[in-house]
Amino acid sequence: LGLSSQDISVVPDIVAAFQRTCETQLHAVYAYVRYRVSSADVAEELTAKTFLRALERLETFDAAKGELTPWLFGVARHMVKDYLRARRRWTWIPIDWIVQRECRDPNPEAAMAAGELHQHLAHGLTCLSGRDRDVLGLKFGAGFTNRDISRITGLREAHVGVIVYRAVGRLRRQLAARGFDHE
Amino acid sequence: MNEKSAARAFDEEIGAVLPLAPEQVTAVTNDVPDAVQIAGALRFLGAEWGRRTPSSLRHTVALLAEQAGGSPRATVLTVARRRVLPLGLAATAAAILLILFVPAARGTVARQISRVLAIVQVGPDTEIVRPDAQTPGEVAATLQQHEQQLTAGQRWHVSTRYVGVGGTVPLNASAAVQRVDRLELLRSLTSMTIQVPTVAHRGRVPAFNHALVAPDGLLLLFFGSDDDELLLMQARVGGGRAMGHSRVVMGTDRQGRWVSETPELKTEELLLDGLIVVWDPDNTGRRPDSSALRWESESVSYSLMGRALTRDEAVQLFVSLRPVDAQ
Repeated sequence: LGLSSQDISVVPDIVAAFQRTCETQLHAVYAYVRYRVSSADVAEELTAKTFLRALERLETFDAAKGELTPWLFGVARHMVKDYLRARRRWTWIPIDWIVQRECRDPNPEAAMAAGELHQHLAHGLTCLSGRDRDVLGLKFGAGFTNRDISRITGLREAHVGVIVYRAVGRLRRQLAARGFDHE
Repeated sequence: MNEKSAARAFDEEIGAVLPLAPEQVTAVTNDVPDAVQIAGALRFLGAEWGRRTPSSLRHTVALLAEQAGGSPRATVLTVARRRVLPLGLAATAAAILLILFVPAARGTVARQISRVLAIVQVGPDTEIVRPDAQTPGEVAATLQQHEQQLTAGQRWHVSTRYVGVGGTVPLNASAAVQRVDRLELLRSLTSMTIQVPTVAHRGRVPAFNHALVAPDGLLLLFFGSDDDELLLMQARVGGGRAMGHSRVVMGTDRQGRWVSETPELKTEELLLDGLIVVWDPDNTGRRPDSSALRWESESVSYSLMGRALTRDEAVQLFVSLRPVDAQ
């Protein structure tokens, strides 16, 4: 897996952009991957692999075709897709269970994840389709607009809006079915 | 309003919420309609996950960024396989299959197994767990604790050619596992309905041979003998009791220390008689008898195993199972 600096023959501007992107987009990529896979450990590995793959393929990035961030998320999406395809017979750890684990963390940050609504939502995500989780991950994990998501996924912008709208509706119905009272 | 318009209106509504900091989102969403509140909570969840990006990952990506600039670099590219131990090249590589019978809710699993890579949910209280590999120190501590609890009579343990199974001894109970050779006696010792296979397996219908009754009520039912021997495990779950299965291959590393490796699960979900059952084949390559069909029904967790049992054989036997009373 080792790369040497000689392997990377890309223009300095792109290298600088990649370095900036590593700094600014790491949290967003990680949060997106957490939306897609239920295990924090797996999310960590896939995120690391995403940046590694991006670095390996940096010379294939064409600035004329778009910005680096959507390209990076394209790499992340492929990474997740490959991973899920390889394990499609698995039922992954429900996210609510992970949240439950994290709630025992004495770290006060973890306590925030203990909210009932978040636990229900985290579990609800596991019941959504891969496409819904993909779009919700880009929207709410990475914080993209529908237009950004459209550029990353190739879906029409209006379609992205409908997917978000429907998926949130499904989550609402799940909450209602579980008797969750948000008031 | 059609769905597209509703979606557009919804996007505009949540557009006011999403850019806010997580604390603000929580505050704002107390007074907004449900769907927007959910959107805010989803963003909160995403922001929270992003904020908890592991420091090891931050370090790795920072090194990758340095590498892109041609800076001298450290060993940065080991993250993806950092948990894989050199067991393939290990000296002895003895395979041990462990099943953890966890007499508590699923949260207990997390306390007993600090890092879990995957769980296959068989039923509400039955799980197949793939724990992370353990370091020599962790393996030593686990084995030592296990031994201490066995010696103190706090745990029971049974080893079979199919599986090792253990659990906690209830307070004031004997740690002894009882062997029972007659079905009538067995029925008087358990509140569970005993299931028996009624189809020919490798030439004959497997007859009840004997059973082992664990201190906490778990049953190991043996049918047939030799090549057609079967083991049906039944355990009452629910109400704070859960069944967790895991496969751990243990061996020694180059320094002769015990280490563990956990191969990827190869489970397959099947829908049989309206029930989801999980085929959990041997993934170690070393214990073909450990392949099992697992399911949970009416608060009883079941595992069916046999001598190199195949999936098709297991399915046939599952379909043929009948309560012993109904025979």
